Amino acid sequence: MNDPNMFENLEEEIIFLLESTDDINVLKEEIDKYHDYEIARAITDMSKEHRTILYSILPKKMLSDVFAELPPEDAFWILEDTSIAVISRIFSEMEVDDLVDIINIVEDKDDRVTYLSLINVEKRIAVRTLIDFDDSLVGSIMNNTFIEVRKLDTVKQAIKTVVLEAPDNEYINNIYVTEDEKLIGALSLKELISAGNNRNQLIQDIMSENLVFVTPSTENEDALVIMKNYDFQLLPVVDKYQKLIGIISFDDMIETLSYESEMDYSSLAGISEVSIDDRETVWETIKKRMPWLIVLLFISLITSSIIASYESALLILPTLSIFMPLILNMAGNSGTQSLGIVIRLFAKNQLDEKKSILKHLLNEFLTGVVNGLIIAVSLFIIVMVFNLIRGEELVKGIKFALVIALSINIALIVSTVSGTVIPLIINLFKLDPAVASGPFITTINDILSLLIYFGLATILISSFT
Amino acid sequence: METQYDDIRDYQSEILDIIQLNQENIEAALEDYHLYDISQVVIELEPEEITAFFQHVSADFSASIFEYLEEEEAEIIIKYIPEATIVTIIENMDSDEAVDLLKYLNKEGLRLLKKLPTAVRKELTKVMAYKEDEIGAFMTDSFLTIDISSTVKQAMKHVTKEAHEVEYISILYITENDILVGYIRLKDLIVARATENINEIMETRFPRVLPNEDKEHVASIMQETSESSCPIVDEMDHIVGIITHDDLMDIIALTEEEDYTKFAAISVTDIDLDSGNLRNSVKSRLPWLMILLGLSMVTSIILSVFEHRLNASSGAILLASKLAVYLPLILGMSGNTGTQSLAVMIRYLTKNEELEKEKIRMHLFRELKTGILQGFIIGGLIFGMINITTLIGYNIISDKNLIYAAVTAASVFIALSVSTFLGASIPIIMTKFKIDPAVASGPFITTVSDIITLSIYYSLSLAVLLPLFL
Repeated sequence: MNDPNMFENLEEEIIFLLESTDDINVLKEEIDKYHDYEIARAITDMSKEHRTILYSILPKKMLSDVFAELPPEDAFWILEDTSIAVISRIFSEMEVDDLVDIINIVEDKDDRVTYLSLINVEKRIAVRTLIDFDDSLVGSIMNNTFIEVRKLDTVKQAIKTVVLEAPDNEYINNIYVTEDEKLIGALSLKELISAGNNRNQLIQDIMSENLVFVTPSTENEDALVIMKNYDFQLLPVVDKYQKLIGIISFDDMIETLSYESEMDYSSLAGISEVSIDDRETVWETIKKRMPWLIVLLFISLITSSIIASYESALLILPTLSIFMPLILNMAGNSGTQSLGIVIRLFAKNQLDEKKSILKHLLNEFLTGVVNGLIIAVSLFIIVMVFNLIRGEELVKGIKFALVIALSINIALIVSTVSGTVIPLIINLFKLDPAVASGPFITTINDILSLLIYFGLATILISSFT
Repeated sequence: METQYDDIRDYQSEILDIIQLNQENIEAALEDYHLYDISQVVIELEPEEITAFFQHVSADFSASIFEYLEEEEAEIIIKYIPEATIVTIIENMDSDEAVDLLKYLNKEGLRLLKKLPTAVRKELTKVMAYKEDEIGAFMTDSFLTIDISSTVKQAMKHVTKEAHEVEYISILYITENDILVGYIRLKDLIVARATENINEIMETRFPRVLPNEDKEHVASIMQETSESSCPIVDEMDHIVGIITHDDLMDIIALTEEEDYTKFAAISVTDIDLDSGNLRNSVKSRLPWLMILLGLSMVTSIILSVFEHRLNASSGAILLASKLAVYLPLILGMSGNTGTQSLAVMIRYLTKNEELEKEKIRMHLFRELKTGILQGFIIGGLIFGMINITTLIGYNIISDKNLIYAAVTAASVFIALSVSTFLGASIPIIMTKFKIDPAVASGPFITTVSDIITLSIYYSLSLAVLLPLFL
């Protein structure tokens, strides 16, 4: 039916073909004669209606190939105007490198996550490693299979849909109601089954319109909070037009749970990754830990130069060094405790407002004061007993014990506060929060405590002379 | 992102309107909303509104709302509800939730417990007897069982009839003379042919646990099977309850949080800004600090023992002050490596519950090698640094200074190797003695490594350097 010379160009020829008949089988046969790149050239010039016809007649594989032929820019603007179901079909047969090309074109960060989430789970992991993608977002873990019904379906029809689709879906606890792909309602399988007595009821009469959903750019941690609060087994994911694009299930969230605490551990321990593989080599282990150690070594050098500058004090009062490790260690410990709290609060997004930061800081300061006071009093008694055993002179002994007690008191207050303030500052400057690790805080607190300790000791020594 | 959600509705304010406007048919009007949202509105109500609200809704509905409340929230609300109503609400609650609430209420809870009907009281007392770590404390009894003689059609009919009465129907448990013999996913039941017999299509191989099983153990079983529930049976294989996916999430979150806070040497299970106050915060940290203070005293005792020998002459005093210069650095560095390897080991142990000896040995050996290599590198760096500073200060490196640098570097080398290995082995030793390895916190390992490092540094220095300085 086609005279090759009838049309000026290929595009017109294909468009004409699409208009020529409604018979899908004929169309399929005719279209199949063209090569992928020929269709690719035509598809950019077509109207939306023509494209929709084309989508319905092209087999999955060919559809993917057509889009792989398109320049990524063109593929992207066409996809923008395409239904979710078709995008999923196009993506399903595409090669990873072609997918990466298209995803890389998308500039808007949230759109990018949404497109990525439309790729099926296995392939998504491969794509994710090739582009810079934040895997703490829902878009990276969501599933693309779910059961959807229409609001005008009867209970009978809906149950039929469930029976038909159950084998392809891991979890069928929730059934979603959509209208032109848009999420408009939800019902649980339990509700559907309970309605089984009255099989002609319409879904819209039993569905819940009280929708709870997330988007691909939602943080996993926030989705987790929602699932826990509502006791959901599944949570629907929608795009920016509220079109249903996937679900996340409780078992995805369990991985999130341990991943989050893994991150917390890593930052508290000062190590780039806390998990270890059985086959890991010594060099790989060292690579994860050494950078931190070297940085800490150089910071620690400050402690040495402080002590060197107070060497004269040590020569007069060698006993000073006896309590040095104790004071530094205690300051380090309380700093680590505060840091432990702050890391959790960050992870829970509870330190977003100025008010809550101030409240927390005040609380930490007061905790430091109380803990410092109690530890100082205990240590004062211990040092007095210690002096008694060593047969020190009483007045000198009291003065010495006072210096120690006062030092640890101040050091504990300072370190408790710094264990909170340093991570806050680092967060303020948008640096990697892992920088404020336990060992880092301990080292900084070593420096501060040394200054406090030797500062006070110098005053003590000058009181002798 | 430019979003186009046309019906972003404020559900909670809609709920509030319903509660405040039509008090007669309140339950029916609220039917379309999530219980969690309703519970969040209820806790914000005025006292008289709370009293009125619970007068107009059924005990069953009230119980569901209570199940979504935190214990602290429930305690406040309870004050405004007549006692008789409270008792029926508790009666209707899931037994594990009811027990959590009663336990939280302490004496008041005990008083309420006595007012409950005997059957309910017996049931709750049974659940109450489980320790916090035991899975029995988490189980629910709201599930469906099917007799093994049923056909698919009969089973479906049973499910259809009972579904709205129970919480959980994703998995149905199959019994024969009350003994648990199998299970079937609702999903599979739905697609099965109506005439088939249940015993032909049910799954018969499945994990089951006793109620006194450790909660973490059950959590790991559930993660492995990735089913959404796990049955709990008594010694006779009678099913007594199930653990569902939301319990699993609670258990895992709780365990992770417990382990993490222990690692930071804080005893608090729920770090939350809103509930944080001075008293709690001191209470959660001071006990650990006191223990660590006691442990730290060992460093002072060791140093004072060495001091006798370092007080003997002016040369010795000079050495003492020189040793003190690098003391914090060495202690700090070995504490750091210890913390790193400890964290890695604790995570490793939590993730792999049943460990073969072979793997542990391999892991320890790797840590040992890592420690030695790291010790070598850091030790080398310190050797270089000490010499450079001496060179800058005195323009010449004497033999004495060279030996001093070598001894310091050697101490760092030994200390780092030892504490890296120590950080990895302490949790293993603790597991051997059936102590929760998570108790070994970062601060704990730093303190222990302080003691060991100090002893190494001073004994080595006194042996090699003291004769040179006398």
